[in-house]
Amino acid sequence: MAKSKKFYFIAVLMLICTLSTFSLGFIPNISVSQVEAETTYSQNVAIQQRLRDLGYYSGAVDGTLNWETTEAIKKFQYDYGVTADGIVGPETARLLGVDLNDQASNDLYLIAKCVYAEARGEPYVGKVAVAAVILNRVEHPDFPNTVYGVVYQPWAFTAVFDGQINLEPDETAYQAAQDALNGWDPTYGCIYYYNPETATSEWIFSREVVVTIGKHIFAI
Amino acid sequence: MKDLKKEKANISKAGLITLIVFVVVLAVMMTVFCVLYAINKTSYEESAISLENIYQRSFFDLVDNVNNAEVKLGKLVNSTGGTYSKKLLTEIHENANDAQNNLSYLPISMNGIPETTKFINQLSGFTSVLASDQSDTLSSENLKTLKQLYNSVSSIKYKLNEMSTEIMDGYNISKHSNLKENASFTDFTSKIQGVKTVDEDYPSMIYDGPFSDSVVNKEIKGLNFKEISKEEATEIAKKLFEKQEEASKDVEGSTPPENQTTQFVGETNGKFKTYDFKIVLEGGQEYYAQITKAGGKLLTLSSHANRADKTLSNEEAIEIATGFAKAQGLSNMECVWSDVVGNDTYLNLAPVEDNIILYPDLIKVKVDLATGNILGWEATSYYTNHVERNLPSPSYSKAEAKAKISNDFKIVSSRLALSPLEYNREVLTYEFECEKAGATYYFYFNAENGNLENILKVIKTDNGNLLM
Repeated sequence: MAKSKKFYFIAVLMLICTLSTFSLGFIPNISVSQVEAETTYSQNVAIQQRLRDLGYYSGAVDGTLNWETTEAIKKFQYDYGVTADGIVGPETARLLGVDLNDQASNDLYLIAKCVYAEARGEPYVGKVAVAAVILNRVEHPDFPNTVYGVVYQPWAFTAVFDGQINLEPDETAYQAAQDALNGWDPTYGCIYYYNPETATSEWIFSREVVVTIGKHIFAI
Repeated sequence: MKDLKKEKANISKAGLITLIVFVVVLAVMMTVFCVLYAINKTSYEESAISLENIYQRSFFDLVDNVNNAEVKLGKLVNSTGGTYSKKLLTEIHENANDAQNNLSYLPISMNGIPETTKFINQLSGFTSVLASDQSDTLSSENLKTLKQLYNSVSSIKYKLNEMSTEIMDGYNISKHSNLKENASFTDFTSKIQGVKTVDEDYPSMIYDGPFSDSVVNKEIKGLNFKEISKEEATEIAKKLFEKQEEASKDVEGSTPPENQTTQFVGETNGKFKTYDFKIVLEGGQEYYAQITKAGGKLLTLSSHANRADKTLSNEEAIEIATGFAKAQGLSNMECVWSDVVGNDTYLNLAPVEDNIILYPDLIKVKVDLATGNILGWEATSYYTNHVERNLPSPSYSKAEAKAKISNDFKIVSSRLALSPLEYNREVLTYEFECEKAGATYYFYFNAENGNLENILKVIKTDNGNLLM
C-alpha cells in the first residue's frame, strides 16, 4: 500500500514536471516585466520645480522622485481632487502644467535608453560617444532622419533587437544623452561603433577607425 | 491464502486507480497543452501577419513616393521655372522625405543600401534648398543635375515596381528578413539592393543644405597650428588635471595608484586629430580629455558627477567657466546662453573681438553647480570656425536698422554680431536687445543691406535663459 502510494505520488509529480516543462515553451511570451518609470529624469525636474513654485515641495530639484517629492505630489493631488497616488499621470501632469510628451524629452529618453542598453558597462565618455553616434546618424545622409528612426532602424542596434532597449536607463545614461544633445561628441562625427570581440558582420571591420573608447571602436 | 488473494486484489485495485489517475492527468495535460499551443500559435501568427502588413505597407508607400517623385521630376525638367517649379520642388522634397521614412521601416541589413539611402536623403535636401532659393529660374547647372536625378529616380522606380510584382505574387518580406549564418545581408536586403546596379553611380548634388556633402565634410579652419608631440600633450593634460591629481593625493595621503594619475589612453584620428587622456578619481569618477595634435588645444572634456546639493549660482558658474577659458588661452569669451539640467549648468561662450560678438565660434562648458568643477568642455565649433576674419565695416547704418524696430519695443542695448546662418554661412548683423511687455527679444539686421535676418525671444525659465 505504501509502495503504491509512493508510485502514485511520483507519477503525478512526473506529470506535473512534464506539463510545466512543455507548457513553458508554449505559453505566449510573457516577458519579465520591467518596472516602467512613469516619468523621465527631465520631467521629474519639471515636476519638482512646479511643486516648489506652488509651495508643495521644499526639497532639491534633482530629478529623482524621492519620498518627499511623492508626498508633495500626493498633497497636490488631494488639493486638486485627483486620486492621491503620488504618481504623475496625464491628469496630474495637466494640472501641474508639466508636459509629459514633448519631443525633446522623448528624444532624450530614447537616447538614454539606448545608451543604457548598449553601453552601461562603458566609461562615461564611452556612453556620451554612443549617444553622439545616434545623433550623428540623424544628421547623416546614409541614415534615417529622426532619433526614433535611427534607434529603431531594423538591425541597427543589438539592444533594440534583443529588447534590452526597454530597460529603464540610469542617471548616468541620462547625463551622457544630455551631453550629446548639447553638442558633445568625443568621436567627431562617427556613425558606427562595434565591440571587436563580439562583432559579427564583416563589413564593419572595413570602416575607417577613428577612436577606441572603452570596449568600443568608433568608426566612420 | 485468503489474505494473500485479498492483498493481490488490493494491489491490482491500487494499480487500476493509479492508471486511471495517470490517464486523467495525461488527458488534462494534453488538453491544456493543446489549448496553450493554439493560443500561442494564433497570437504568433497574428503578430507575424501584423508585422508583414506593416512591412508591405511601408514598401508600397515607398513605391508610391518614388513614383510620385519621378512624375514630378519629369514635369520639373520640362517646366520653365516660376511658381509652378517651386511647387514641384517642394512636393519632390516631401516625396523623397516620405520615401526615406518608409525605407527606414523596412528590415534592411545595416549598410545594405547606403548609396540609395544617401541619394534619397540628398534628393530631399537638394530640392528643399532649390525650393527656398530666392531666384525664380533654375540655373542651367541645377537643371542639368535635375535631369540626371530624373534618370536615376526613373531607374529606381522601374526596379521597385518589378519588386512589387513579386511581393504581390506572395513574396513575404518578414520571412526573408532573418540574417542567415555567414551571410552579411538578409534575402530581402539582397533583393532591394537590386534598385542600384554596381556600375551606375548616382549623380552628385552640390548644395549647402540638409544631408549635403559639404555639411558632412565641413572644413576645419581654426586649427592652423604646429603639431605637438605626445609628450607635450601629456604635459598639457597633466596641467589640466592638476586639481584632480591633487584630490587623489589628498585621499590616498601618499602617491596615488597609477590609474588615479593622468593616463594617456590613445589617439583620435578622424576629422579632428587628438591625443586622449583620462584620470579616474577615488570613487570612480572619470575625466576624459582630448587635446588637439595641432597646437595642443583642449578640444573636448567629458565627465559627470553624482548629484549633490547646489552651492553655486549660475553667475558664479559663468565666472568659473570664463576663468577656465582664459586658462585655455581664450581671454575674450562671454557667456551668451545657459541651461541648467539637474545639478549641471551648460554654458555657451562666444568670443568678442573689436566689440563684435562672434556667434559661430561657440564653446560649451558644463559646470557642476555643487562643486564648481568643470565637467565638460566642447570647442569643436570654435576650432572649426575661428579665424582672423577681417570683417567689412557695415555699409548700412545702425540708426537705419534701429528705425525698423516698432516703437512698441524698448531698446535696451545694441552691438555688432557675427551670426551663423544655416549651413556654414555667416553674416554681420546689428543685434538689438529689446523689451516689450516684460519679455526680452533680440533682433538681427543684416549690416550690409538692413534685411531682418532673425528674431529670438528669450524665455526665462528657472533653468536659465532659453533662446527661441
